[in-house]
Amino acid sequence: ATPARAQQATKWKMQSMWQAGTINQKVFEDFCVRVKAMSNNRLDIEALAVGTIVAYTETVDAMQNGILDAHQSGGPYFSGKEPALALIGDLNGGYDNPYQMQMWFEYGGGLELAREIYKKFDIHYVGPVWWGVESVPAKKPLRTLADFKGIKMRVPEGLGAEVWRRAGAGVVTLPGSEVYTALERGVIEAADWGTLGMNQDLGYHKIAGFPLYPGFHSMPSAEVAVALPKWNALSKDVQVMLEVATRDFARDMIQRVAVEDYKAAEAAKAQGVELINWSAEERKKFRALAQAAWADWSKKSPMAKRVYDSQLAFLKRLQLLD
Amino acid sequence: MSIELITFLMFGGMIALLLLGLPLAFVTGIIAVIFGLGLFGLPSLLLISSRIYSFMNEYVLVSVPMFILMASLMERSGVARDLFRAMHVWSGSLRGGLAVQTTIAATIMAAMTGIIGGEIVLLGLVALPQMLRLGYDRKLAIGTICAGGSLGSMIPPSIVLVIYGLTVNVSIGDLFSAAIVPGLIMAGMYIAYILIRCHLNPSLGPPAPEEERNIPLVEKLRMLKSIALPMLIAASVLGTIYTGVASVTEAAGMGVVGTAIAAALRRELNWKMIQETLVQTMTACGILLWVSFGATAMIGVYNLAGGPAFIRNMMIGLPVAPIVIIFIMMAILFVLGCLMDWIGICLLTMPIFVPIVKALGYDPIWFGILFCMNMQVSYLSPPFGPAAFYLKGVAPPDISLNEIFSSVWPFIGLQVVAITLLIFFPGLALWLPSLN
Amino acid sequence: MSESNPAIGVERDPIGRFTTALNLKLSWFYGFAVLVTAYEVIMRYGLNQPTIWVHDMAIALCATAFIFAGGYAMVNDQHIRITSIYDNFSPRTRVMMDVLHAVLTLGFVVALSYAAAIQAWRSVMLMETSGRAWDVPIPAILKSMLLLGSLLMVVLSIDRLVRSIRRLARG
Ligand code: NA
Ligand code: NA
Repeated sequence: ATPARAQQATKWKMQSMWQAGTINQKVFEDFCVRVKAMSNNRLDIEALAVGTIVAYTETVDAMQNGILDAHQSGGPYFSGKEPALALIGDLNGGYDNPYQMQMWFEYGGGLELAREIYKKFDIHYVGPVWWGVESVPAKKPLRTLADFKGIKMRVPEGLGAEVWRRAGAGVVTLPGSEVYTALERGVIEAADWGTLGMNQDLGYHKIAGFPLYPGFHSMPSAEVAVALPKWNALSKDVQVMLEVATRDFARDMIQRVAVEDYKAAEAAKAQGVELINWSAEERKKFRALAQAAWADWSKKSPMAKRVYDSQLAFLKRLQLLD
Repeated sequence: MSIELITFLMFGGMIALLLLGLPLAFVTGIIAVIFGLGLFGLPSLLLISSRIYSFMNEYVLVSVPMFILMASLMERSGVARDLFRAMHVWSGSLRGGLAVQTTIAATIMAAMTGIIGGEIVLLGLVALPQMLRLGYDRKLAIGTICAGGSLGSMIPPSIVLVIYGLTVNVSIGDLFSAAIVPGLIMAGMYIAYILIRCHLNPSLGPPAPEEERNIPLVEKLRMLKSIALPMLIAASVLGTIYTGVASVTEAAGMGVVGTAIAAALRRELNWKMIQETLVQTMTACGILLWVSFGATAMIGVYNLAGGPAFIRNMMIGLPVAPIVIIFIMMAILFVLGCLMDWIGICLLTMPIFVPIVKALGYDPIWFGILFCMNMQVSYLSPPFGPAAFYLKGVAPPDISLNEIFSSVWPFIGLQVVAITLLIFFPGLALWLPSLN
Repeated sequence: MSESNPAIGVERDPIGRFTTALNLKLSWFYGFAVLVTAYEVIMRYGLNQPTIWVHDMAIALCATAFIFAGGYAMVNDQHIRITSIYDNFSPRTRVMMDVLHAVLTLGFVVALSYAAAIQAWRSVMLMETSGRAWDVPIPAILKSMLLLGSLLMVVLSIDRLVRSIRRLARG
């Protein structure tokens, strides 16, 4: 036997935030396959889809309890435990694309802040993983910020709701399972929901034919995070390998989701859907509005303030804010 | 311990304890505790509390007490009694007419709600006592209500189809339009069955007595008048989802408001009655929710033990014709449907089945409808039969769970026939979505 | 079937009476859930001013009632059972089944209380909020309710176990 085989294989259960069978879950499964190969079978991660073991809101507790070893999920779901996680997860209108926020994590201090926050929960934050850029399926064209005034729009999360409320939208908090029917019947006129590719698959554009694309309001970061004892039990080389694999996972997710979005944009246009692309000017107005919401949110905890200050400085360096 | 053995012991233990007369809610709960502790130690108990907490946070559950409230108000206010008396008289000499009308009402209501529980509770409180009072065969009446009431998640809108669509990423709109014809076929089969049974044996569904039917038309119209307004209010308020006023679950709440207004207009609403309906709701919810709490705990432990991988491995590499694979999948769904709730089955099997179905060249929309029809069976099949539980939660105490389960078999047979029809004639589902 | 079995039912006990009285009060939560739902529909459709709190409030009201309703159904022995075999047992076997029933139920609710206690403790220490549009400590409250509801069921199960054992001893 080779020396590597003699070493004990570590088996992990890792639950994601993705429905089984989606492109996102496929990217996650591929990541687990690569980790196993790169570690020469020393780290074998079982890729569990959302809800398999616990609900998506419960993966942090499950890691603390030793039920799950790791998760691939995101800050916005856990902002009720620490408000700063909302700002780590999704500024709602901060960056133009995920690569900019990846820069903040790697070179702007984001990674250190994220690790400090998760350490409170006995969890090691390995690195960010993106979803892609979200769209807004809408029943009528919403070309400017002003068009959102009085629009009934489904937004459940706290910070997102705060931003859209400032834009004048009537925020509705329906759960995900009711969004389709509500949008179809006109209970709501728009929804903060999914990427263009996902929405095209689910048939949203047939009932709400004016999606925002390319999106900008939301590009949630999720992460690979591991229960701290499980992380500490890894040998140094496997730890570094997992960090590098996570960086590649982030890139893979951004690009494969974007490719799906390109395909979906083509298909949507062919069926007569109008893709609404906001001008740079409108985007800037939206960002200014959002900034006030972040500032308010940052008062919720000292950690939230630190995350806000760090990102604000970085957004200025990127010249996205004056 | 191998997953095969775990599967056998868990579900075998569940059936054994159930047959000894232990309450289902605590049977599944204690099995989750024993297997959780045995296989994974103390942390697994936190899995149980976590899943129960997440389960009760589902918004769609809010519609369950609301439907019970609505039904209870209708029943106690006398609207139900008058309604069924009028239906009985108006169905003339038709044998089984009341059961047919109940099925039609269930189908119309199914188009207004997306879950099963509410509808069965409503029919169980409103229609069942009336059908029994008017001399209908108990088994026929019970079966009609369980099968008809289950249509709520077959005829769109349907929470089952929404979750299927989200799980396998296909168009929810296409699923909705594909479900219409198979749903109506199922309803049609129930009606045909009722008519044939009652034609062969009139005592199963006796028409109203001659002297009652032959009352003057003016009298018959007067009967309608007393129920027309309440029914109109209840239906229009429940129908608010079609006008974009309310979401699916909110519509259930609006239904309560409408029924309360109707009862008030008939001068039948009072505090005592409201407290009684609320207590009845409390009892029924305690029964129903804790069954689900136990089930979600047990499924969580089973998933942690590797249940999904076990099912996947069973399906891989079967050297048989594609259509046989579809039948094997239907058989697996049937067996799981006896033991689990639909959402557990969907999360457990669909991520495994649908990629295979697509690889075989079948349409995932068509398969979604097959899944949904299979879940109609799962509501009725013992020992884990949610439709039976919902009915038991509100039925008169002399109706036992055994009697309910022994009443639904003919309807399960009809459902299996409908599923087989759709397997061989996919066009029944796929024709409507192909139009747009 | 699960015709309520007054010999086992504990509705005459102090704990049974307490459970019943508590559930009479809590049953009004369903009524409040209906009222706030109607309020949301009127505000959103009529006045184009949707609320951010109604959906979460309706969930919290109903969930609280669901939790305690489990104990209420226990008091009246209404939990769903299949009794076709049980009914054919001899009276003595039936009493033994009742003891087994009480022991297993107690095992489940004790395990649930243990887990719910850890879950609730952790949540309350953080004053965990929902993180949703209406960002209030509903998780901390509901997790505590689950603990209280399971503890009530522990007491009810012990009561039931004591009764069953007494009957077994009497023969
Ligand atoms: Na329906
Ligand atoms: Na079943």
